Amino acid sequence: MSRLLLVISLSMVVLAACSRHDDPPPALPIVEPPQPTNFTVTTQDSVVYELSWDVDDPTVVSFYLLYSQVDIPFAGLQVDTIPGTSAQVNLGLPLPVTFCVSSVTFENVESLLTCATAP
Amino acid sequence: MAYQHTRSENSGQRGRRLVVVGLLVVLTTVVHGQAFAGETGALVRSLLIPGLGQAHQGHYTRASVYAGTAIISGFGILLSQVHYNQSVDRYDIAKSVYAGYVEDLENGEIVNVGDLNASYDEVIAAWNEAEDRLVWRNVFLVTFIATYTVNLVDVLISKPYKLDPDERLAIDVNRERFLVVKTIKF
Repeated sequence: MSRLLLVISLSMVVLAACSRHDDPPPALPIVEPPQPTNFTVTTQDSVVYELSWDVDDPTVVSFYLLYSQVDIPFAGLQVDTIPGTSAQVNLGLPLPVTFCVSSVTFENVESLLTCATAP
Repeated sequence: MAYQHTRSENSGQRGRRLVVVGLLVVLTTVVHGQAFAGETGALVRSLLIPGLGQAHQGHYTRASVYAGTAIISGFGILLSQVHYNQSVDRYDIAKSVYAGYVEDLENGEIVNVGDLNASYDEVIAAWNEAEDRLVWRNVFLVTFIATYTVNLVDVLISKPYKLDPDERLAIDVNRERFLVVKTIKF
C-alpha cells in the first residue's frame, strides 16, 4: 500500500512540475537609434520648405526617413530617404503639410518620430 | 450468400459484446462486493473520493474536511489551469510577433524601435503572467495531492468509529413529557 501511495504522489508531483511555456527569447542586441531633436521647418512661400534637425550620435545613423503628409483629403503619405540632417521639399503648390523625421541605424532599426507642422 | 455472411458476422460480434458486458457485470459485482466491504471498503472509498472512507468509518468531521478541501482544490486546479492556458496562448502570440520583427530585421526591412520594444515588453509581461498562474496551478495541485495522500494515510491508520455505551439513545419519560437524549461526539 505504501508503494501505491508513493506512485500516486510521485505521478502527481511530476504532473505539477510540467509547464507549457519555455523561457522568453533574449532581447535583440540592437543599438538604440537616436530620436531627431531640434526639428525646424521654415518656408518663404508655403511651396518650398527647408527642414533641419539634430541627433545625439550621428555615427550610429545610416540614414533618415522624412515623412510628408499634406493635409488634404485622399493625399498619401510620402516617405523619402535623406542621408544628412537637412532637406529641402518642394510641394509644387501652397498646401498645409506636416513633416516627421526619424533616424535609421545600420541594423535597420528606426527611431521614434519627431514631427512638426509647417508654419 | 454475401448477405448471409455479413449477417452471421454481425451476430457473432453481438454475441462477443454480450459476453464482454456480462463479464464486466460479474467482475464489477464481485469487486464491488469485496472491495466495498469492511475496512478495505473504507480504503477503496477514499481512493475514489477523498473523505468517503472516513464517512464509511463514521468520522464525519474528518470526512467533511477532506472532501471540502479536495473539492475546493480540485476546482482551483481547473480554474487556474484554464487561466494558465490563456496566458500561455498570450505568451505564444507575443513571442511570434516579436519573432516576426526579428525576421523582418534579418531580411533587411526597417523596424521601428517603438514597435520592437513594445513587442518585447509584451513577451516579458505575458511570460511573467504565465509564471504567476503556473504557481497558482501548482499550489492547488499540491494541496490536492496532500489532501488525497493524507486522506489515504488517515483511512489506513484509523479504526471505525464505535458507539460508546454512554452515547446510546436514551428516553426519559415523565408524567407530562418525555425526552429523547442522544449524545454526539466528533
